[in-house]
Amino acid sequence: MNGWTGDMNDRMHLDDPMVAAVLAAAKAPAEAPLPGEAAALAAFREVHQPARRKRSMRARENVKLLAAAVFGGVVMVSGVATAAVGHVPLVHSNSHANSHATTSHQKSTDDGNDTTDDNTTQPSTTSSTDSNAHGVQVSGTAHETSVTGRNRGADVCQVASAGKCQPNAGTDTTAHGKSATAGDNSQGATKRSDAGTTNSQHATTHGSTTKGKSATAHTAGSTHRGTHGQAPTTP
Amino acid sequence: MDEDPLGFVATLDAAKRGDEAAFARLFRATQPALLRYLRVVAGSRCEDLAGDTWVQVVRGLGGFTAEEPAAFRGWVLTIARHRWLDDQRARARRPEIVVDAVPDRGDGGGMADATLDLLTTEAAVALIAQLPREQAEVVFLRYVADLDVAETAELTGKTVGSVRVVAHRGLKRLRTLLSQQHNLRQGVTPEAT
Repeated sequence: MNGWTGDMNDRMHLDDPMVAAVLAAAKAPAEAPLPGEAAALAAFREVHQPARRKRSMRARENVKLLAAAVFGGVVMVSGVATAAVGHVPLVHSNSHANSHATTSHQKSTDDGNDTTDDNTTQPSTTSSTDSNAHGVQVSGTAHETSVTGRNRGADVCQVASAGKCQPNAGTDTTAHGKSATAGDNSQGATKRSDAGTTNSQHATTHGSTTKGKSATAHTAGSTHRGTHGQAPTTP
Repeated sequence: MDEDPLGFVATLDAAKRGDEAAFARLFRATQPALLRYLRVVAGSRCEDLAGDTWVQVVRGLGGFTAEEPAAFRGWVLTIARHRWLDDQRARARRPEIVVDAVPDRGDGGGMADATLDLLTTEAAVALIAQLPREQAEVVFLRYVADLDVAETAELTGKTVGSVRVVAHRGLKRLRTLLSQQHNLRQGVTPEAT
C-alpha cells in the first residue's frame, strides 16, 4: 500500500468529461460588472479615508494654533510697546480720573446752559495762577456783603465774565442762569458754564461735566457763595 | 490576480496603504470565487454574505500578509465561511418561513440540460450546490477555488484526510448525478419524439 489513493480516484473523476465541464464552467472568469463592487469600495473608503481626514484636520488645527499664537504675540508686543511710549488710552483716562478725584456735589438745574455736552471728555489743563487770581476776585465779589440778591449776582457775573455778562439785559428769568461763555480764553478750561447752575463752593471749575447733571469741580481756587446764576470763567 | 501587472504582493501592499485601485484589483480577482462559494453553501444569501465578507476583509486587510493570490483567496473564503456560519446560527434562532419552492438550488432536469448543452457558470455552481453541503463545499474549495488540501482543511476545520475523503465522495457523487441526468435526458428524449 502506498497510502491514500484518494488523489488517484479524484483524478479519475476529474477526467470524466462531464465533471470536468461542470468544474470548468464553475471557475470561468466573471464578466465585468461584479455585484457588490461599489459596496466593497465604499467599505474600503470608509475604513481608509478617516485616517486621511484626521491627518488633514490635525494639520488645520496646527495652523489655527500657530495663527493664534502669532496673533497673541503681536498683541502682547504691541501692547508693551505702546505702554512704553506712553500713549496707551488707559493712561489718559487714568489721569482724567485723577482730575475727577473730588467729585462734584453740584447738581445742575435746568437753568444751566447745557451747551457743550460733547466736550465733557476734554480734560482741563489749565490751573494757572491767572485762573486762581480770577477766582479769588470773583470770590471776593461774591462775598461782598454790601450788595445782596440779584445785584450781587450781577456783580459776580460781571467780574466773572470780565464785563461780558449783561445781567440786566432781558428779563429776570433770562438773566437768571445766563452764563458767560467760556470765551476765547478758556484755554481748555471748561467750555461750558455749569457753575451758574450750581451752588458750588468751589471758586473755579475745571474739568468736565457729564450731561449737566453734575459738575466736576476742582478746588483750585477759593470758594465763593452766591454765584447763583453766574459762572466764573477763566479770563 | 495572476494577470495583475503589479504583482500580487505589490497590489496587496498598495491596498493596505489605502490605494483604492489596488483594492479594486484584489476584489475583481477574488469576488467571483467568493460569490460562487457562497452560492454553493448559502444559496440566495450569497450576495449579502459576500458584502459582509468584504467589510471584514477591509477591516483586516492591514494585518494580512501573503505571498500568493491563493492565500488571499483562502483568507477571504475563510471569512466568508465564518460569516455564513454566523448567518446560519442567526437564522436558526429566527422563526423559519417555509416557502414552496427554493429556486436557488435549481432542479435536476434543468441542470441536466445545462450540463449537456452550453453549461453556464451559474448552472455549474448550482449543480455543485446540489451535492450534500459538506461535499459541495469541499469540492468547490478544492476544484473551483483551487485551494490545496491543507488550505481546504484549515478553512473547513477538517483534517487533511477528511478533506480528501469528502472531496472524493463529492466528485463521485457529482459524476453519478451527471450520469443519471444524462441518462434521463437520453431516455426521455426518444419517447418525446
